[in-house]
Amino acid sequence: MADERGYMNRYGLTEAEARLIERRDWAAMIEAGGNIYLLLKIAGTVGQNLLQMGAQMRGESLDAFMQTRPHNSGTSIERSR
Amino acid sequence: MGRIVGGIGCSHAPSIAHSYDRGQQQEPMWAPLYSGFEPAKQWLSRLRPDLMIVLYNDHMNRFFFDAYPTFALGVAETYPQADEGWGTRDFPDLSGHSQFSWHLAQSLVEDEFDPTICQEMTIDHGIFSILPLLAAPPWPAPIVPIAANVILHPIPTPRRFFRLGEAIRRAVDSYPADLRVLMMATGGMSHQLHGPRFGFLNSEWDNEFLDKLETDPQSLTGLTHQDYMQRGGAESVEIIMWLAMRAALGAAVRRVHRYYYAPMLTGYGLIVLEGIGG
Repeated sequence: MADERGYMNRYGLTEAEARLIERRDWAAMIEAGGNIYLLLKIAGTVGQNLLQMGAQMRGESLDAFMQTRPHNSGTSIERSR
Repeated sequence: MGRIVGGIGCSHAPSIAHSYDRGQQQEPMWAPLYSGFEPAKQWLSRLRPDLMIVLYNDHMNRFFFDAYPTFALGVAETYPQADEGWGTRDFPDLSGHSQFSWHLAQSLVEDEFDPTICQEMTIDHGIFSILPLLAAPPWPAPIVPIAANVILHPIPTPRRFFRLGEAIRRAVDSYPADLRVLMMATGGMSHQLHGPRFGFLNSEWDNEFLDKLETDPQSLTGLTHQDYMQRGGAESVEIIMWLAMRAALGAAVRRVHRYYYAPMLTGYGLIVLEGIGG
């Protein structure tokens, strides 16, 4: 997006809200009452994915978060019965 | 007379759609999921239902903050894909069954369920992410979509979904023409998508849910939303939609297939059931 702030101004975001988006601070957006399904649309627009958002919300690097995932730690649970 | 000839409960997730679109079906992380769905796909191709009723939730792609219906019923002849912000995927629209939809609308309202009637409805990954794993396009049967609010509180209770399923069964039973109906509900098993608990998984609970859905669904209707969110993560509360599928099959069921796989952010679940004894 060439002019993020200009775009946000068109929709009446407050200064505080616009700063959270500029900082990509998903954790603070949730604290401010954001809905994850809508924050996902913001993330998509600014080029982040759910895994990156999740790591930030947990306060971890993406690499550190990915190491906790079952597929990457060899602990995937699969059951068929 | 209409008749419910089977039920499917399964996860929906953008990640499934991405894996499909990127051709990752054979990759180590995804291959188990695709083979886990294969028996359901084969069962569905043998069953050849005339119609599929699909209960799912929209992720603010068709409905938005301005007006978000608690229950919404499609009555169209065609349902295009919703563009979730990345363009639509390379799939045909869903065919509808307007005549049955209007019968369902009438029957549900008489039964004291009052859905928003939608002449136009675009459908998001709530249906489109999982459908290609159950059938190759062109889609096997017309679809009657019912969207439920499970993402903006207040949301309907688990028991309300169970009763919705019973009401759907009565509507199918009272349809004047022969019609073999598959009842499907989609919705993720354990997952939490926001806050410090992001990435929460609970495979034990997910499998307990699958056990009870089959043999003791009433016990699941007595749980609160908080129970579901604590056990499975906040966004997993959408699993309560599966209770409508289970209720639509009647008291006793036979399990055709069951599969569960939790590699990353959620438990991907699948259960295929048939009702026993009408």
